[in-house]
Amino acid sequence: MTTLSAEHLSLSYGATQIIDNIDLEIPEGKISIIIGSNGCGKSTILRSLARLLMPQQGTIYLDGKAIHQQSSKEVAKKLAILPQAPEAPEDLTVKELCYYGRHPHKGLFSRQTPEDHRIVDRALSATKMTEFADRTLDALSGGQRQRAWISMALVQETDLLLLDEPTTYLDLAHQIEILELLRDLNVTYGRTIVMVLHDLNQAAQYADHLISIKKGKIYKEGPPEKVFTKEMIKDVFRLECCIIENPVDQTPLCIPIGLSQD
Amino acid sequence: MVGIALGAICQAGIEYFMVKFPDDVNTTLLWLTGSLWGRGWDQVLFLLPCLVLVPVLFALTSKMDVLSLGDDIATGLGERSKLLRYILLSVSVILIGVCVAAVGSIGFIGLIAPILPGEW
Repeated sequence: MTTLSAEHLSLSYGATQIIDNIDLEIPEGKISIIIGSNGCGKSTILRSLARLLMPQQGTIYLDGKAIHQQSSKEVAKKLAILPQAPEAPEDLTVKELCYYGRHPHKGLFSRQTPEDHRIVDRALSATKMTEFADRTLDALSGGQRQRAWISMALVQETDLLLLDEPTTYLDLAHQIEILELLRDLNVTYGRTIVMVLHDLNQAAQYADHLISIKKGKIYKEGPPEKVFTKEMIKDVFRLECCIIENPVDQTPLCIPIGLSQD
Repeated sequence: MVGIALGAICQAGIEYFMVKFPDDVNTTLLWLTGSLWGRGWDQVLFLLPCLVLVPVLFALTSKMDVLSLGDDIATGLGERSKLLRYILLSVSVILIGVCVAAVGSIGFIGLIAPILPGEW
């Protein structure tokens, strides 16, 4: 298994401080979900964990070693990142996209091997995209396209999978489809998943580990039953709500009442 | 914007030489239009050392493909996007630079060139 953690992490865009000295440890083999209001820095944290953003201060550790001191290629064999709304050349087919996932495992002149074909086929069947393998990306619906990207990340064969708002722009059924797929990947293949989600109730339902962010600091983290409270939602989102037990799987469920007055 | 500014500066340079050396204006005009006329083995020998860079570009093709998915994805797939961009840009500038120096700017090649390799 691969471990991922951050120590004394501070992040900024130019002069604007986004994240202020946080420590974070991603639990292995679990689904961790980062929540917080718009602009609180949750995507920024995810991007820095995937070495897409240089920390201003502090260090990200992948397998105990500073991520920025490892070669990008070695990191890509352990950690896959799916940024928000990625774009590809329009005439690319799903299968071609998937083969890009083999890139970190390849040398300059190496060709596709039968092993590569097996891995791509397996990823496509895991995401139920086999029948769309030869379609171009622009001929897919939003949900299918997102599944195509997830297939590419799977082909990368990493222990860690990071996703930035994977359900954005999808209708509810397709959101659930993506979340179920990710849970399945976690349970069946033991992949560690870290993602940013907007929908609080979905976060509470699918997370093993919930991380709430407020103004560049970690407000509270832990299992949803501990973190997902009336107080947290009031402090982090300025929202009055009541929390009930989800009758389906006993996870906490938030019913909004209105904006907090203070 | 940067392209227009750079173009204007280079244009100014060319015009300076035309005004300064009016006797050679004919050669300048020929070079500006771009022509293979009167070009021979001298120019080929001058271009030869740069051929070393062509295999370099071929070796980088798979990396170029990855870069077409955007910098974030390329980094995620293990490339150092910024460095790669600089290398590719430098190699292209050198190759195009020596070609233009030899035969001038033959029009429309810039339009055709990016499409040709894409067809393969």
